[in-house]
Amino acid sequence: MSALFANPVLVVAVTLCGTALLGILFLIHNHLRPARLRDSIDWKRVQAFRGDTYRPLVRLLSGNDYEFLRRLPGYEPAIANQLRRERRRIQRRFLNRLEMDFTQLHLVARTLVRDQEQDRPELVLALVRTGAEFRLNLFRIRLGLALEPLGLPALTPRPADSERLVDAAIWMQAQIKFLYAPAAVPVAG
Amino acid sequence: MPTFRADMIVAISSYVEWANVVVCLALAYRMLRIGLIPRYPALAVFLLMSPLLLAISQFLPRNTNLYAQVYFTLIPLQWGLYFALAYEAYRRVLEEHTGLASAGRWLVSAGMALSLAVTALSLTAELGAAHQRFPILLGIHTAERAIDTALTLLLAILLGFTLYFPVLLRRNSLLLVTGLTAFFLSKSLILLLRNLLGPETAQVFSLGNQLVNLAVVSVWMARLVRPESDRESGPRASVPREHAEQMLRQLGALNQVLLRGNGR
Repeated sequence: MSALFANPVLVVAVTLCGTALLGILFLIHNHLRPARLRDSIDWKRVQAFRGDTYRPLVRLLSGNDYEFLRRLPGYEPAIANQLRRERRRIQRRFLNRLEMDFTQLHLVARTLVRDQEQDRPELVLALVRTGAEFRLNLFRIRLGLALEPLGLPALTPRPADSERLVDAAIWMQAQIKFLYAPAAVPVAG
Repeated sequence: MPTFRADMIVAISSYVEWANVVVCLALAYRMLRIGLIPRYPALAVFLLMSPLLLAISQFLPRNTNLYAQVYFTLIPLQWGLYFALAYEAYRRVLEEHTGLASAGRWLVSAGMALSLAVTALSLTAELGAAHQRFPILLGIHTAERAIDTALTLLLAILLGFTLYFPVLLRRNSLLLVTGLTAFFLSKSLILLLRNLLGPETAQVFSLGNQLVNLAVVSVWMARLVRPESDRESGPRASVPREHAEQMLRQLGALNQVLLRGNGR
């Protein structure tokens, strides 16, 4: 018995770790209950989604406006900095909304793959890859926005980054169409 | 005082061991009555193995070659049964999702490789531990801990997959997979402590193992339902047509808008 108390730190650490992991498992169990999963798609959000909302995001991510501003008479760097600050705030809001919408749409796509009558390993992989690429791209844009005041050109968000977000949406649309109407021909990803 | 505590643990262990046998046999009987054994055969064998192990530990004389031979024969069988239980959980989780069948197989293969690699790394804890009195026993417990850890990780990866897609599980399948994960996780941590702290703690950690077993089987006893009731909680089509059509229109609008904005 005394051996049990010889290393109390180890015993407490392993016990706490085990309790935490069992707690996480309990939460996963609750989350996986069928009733919870059926409610997890936010149809209100999916239905309220409007593509027009994201038109300004692509423009905001491109640097065209700053170049235009620089050519105007009376241009001062302070004006561009002020504009950048305001735009970063707006861009973050757009990205947050786009992320929430994409999360819901991607969830619907995953649900459709799950409910397929035929084995679709290539779609599963592509869906996982697209979701991961979207997240990575979103992270890079957010990181770029956060570090923009430091003026590091390598991290500044470029239009190409927004293009990748668009590609993810295009791919997903094609696959969802294909999954929902199997007779249709999917667009190559 | 320490002697009293040790005696008390031995007495409690004995009660818990018998309680385990009763609950395991009761659940096996219940599974037989409500028709769950064809769906969960490995679980049924697991439940029947518990009384067998107790009988051996109670009626065979300890410190004999016969006891050692029976013990060393049953241990690998038990490990094989653990793998069968994990495989049963995997099959029950993905059986009604044909679209994910191959992905599920890849997941198990990759998950197995990953969990074996992580487990092998975690074994450095035991290998670096101080020399103990019974090295063969320590070797067996280390192997068992490795198997429990690998199966915990494998089942955790499976749960992650079901969360991601999101797989709709029948109530019984969900109980089986989370119950097994909790079982292997607890066993793995208990064995880790036992291996690191030495054979003097065997009695108390054996009690811990028994309590985990009792808790998991009791939850299964209380929560597993008849196949007919289970079917009602099973997967259903969850994307209504009107929602999907609206979503497609919105996605199309999004793409057009973004493409125009990008000048493509």
